[in-house]
Amino acid sequence: MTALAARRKVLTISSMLVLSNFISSVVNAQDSWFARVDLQTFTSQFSDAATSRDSLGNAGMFLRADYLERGGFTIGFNRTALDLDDGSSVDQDNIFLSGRVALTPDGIDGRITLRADGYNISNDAIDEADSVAAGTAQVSYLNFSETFYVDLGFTRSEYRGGQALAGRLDIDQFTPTIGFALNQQSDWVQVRGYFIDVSNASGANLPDSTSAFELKWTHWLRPNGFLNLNNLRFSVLGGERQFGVDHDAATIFNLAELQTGTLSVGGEWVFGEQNRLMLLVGVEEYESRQGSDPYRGPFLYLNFAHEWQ
Amino acid sequence: MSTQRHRPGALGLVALVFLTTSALGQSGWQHSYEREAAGDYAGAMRALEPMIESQPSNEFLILRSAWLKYLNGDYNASLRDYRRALELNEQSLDAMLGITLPLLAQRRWREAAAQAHQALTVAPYNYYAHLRLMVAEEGLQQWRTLADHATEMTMRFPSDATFFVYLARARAWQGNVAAARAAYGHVLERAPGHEEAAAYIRSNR
Repeated sequence: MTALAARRKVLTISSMLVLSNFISSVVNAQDSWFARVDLQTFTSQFSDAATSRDSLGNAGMFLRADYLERGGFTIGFNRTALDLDDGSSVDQDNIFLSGRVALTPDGIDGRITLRADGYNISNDAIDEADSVAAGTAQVSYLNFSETFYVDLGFTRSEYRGGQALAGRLDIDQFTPTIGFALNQQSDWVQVRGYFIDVSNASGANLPDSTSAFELKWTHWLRPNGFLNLNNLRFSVLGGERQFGVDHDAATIFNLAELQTGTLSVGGEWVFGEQNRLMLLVGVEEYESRQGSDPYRGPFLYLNFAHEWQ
Repeated sequence: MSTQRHRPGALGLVALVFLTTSALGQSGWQHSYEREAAGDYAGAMRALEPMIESQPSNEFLILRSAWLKYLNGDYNASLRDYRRALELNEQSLDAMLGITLPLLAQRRWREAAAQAHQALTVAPYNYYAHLRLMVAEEGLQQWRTLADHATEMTMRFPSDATFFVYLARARAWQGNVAAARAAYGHVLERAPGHEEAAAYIRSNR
């Protein structure tokens, strides 16, 4: 680790401590606000000859604040580093802002949430877009007994700069989602469709449109169960997804590779009432823009969350 | 002379209006209670409407309207009425506790908990305030908080089965089977037919 990197790390840790003290004081002063911080890291390795990618790493944090159950906002910052086989790398910063309002109108047996997200990515790559901006609008419904969920999301992403992307791309994404509980709410299944249209696709040697489906399954265990886990998770994505935006993870897959599948398993531990640790392992499959054979990258994702109540 | 001649008429008119209103009120209340007992909450509400129009600041009418709207599933309207009742009488525990009902029905656990805490500042050992706070704590899955809270309440209300139920649920979610069994055992002593308690003890012998 260089001195600069070490100093940056110390600064980041001190900033987080200052931030967490600030949040704690705000939450204690006003018990109508509830805050949560998520620290996450992701790492993936690519050994396949079909790609020039060597490894992908990501680290970041999200701060979520909610006023009772009426609404809230989330601020996120993530840094991603993509190392290539030739020793070069692409570094990018992702800033995420999100706001939500919850409505409980009479006559509807559940809660409606209106959500708006904004993303801004800047990177230092020549080939990829210099900057990506995206906005999402989502309306969701969860019934009061928390056994049925549906949402519809729309995202407009704008890619600017970048030689290989012909300088400018506009991408529209629709994501209808349905979720439901099973086995007396011991299980939750969620299915989301990704329907993505790309403007100016031919100029950038990209498909006009891609579509993919994602299935997520969560199983809550009894106390003192397997490895003392609170829940087990399984996720699979099939189809083709390019420039997808994952609302749950607040992530844009902005690097110009075609995602053709993802498989992950993991679990979450809950410590007391305020701390959670989630671990996911899986594999992602991509095709390069040149249409080579698919290549795969196993990954590991770790998330620690702390809530102030 | 004409004044004297009209005075009895005016008094009679006032009396007539009073008696009519009173009679309408009596029949309105009775009809409202009858419709509520029959499960016709909209009908029970309609029976009150003439009185609400003539007495828009009648605290009890507003409280009853809030209750009937809650029963009828009109949770936002119920909330508005309970808040109006609290504006009229800031001391009203009925209104403070009433507000928790539509909030809990809408799964607004934190808001309900905040409201229950407000009631507890006025009446620290109010049974319903503690009960509704526990419902919110259960909804928020705050098992340690719920366990501590329920333990205290079983000391304050040792003959009550409900607080032992919440204690048992919290212990069960904490993975403390022995403590959950003990708490459910206390439930069965107080409510021998309690299905949840019997089922837990049966499946955790």
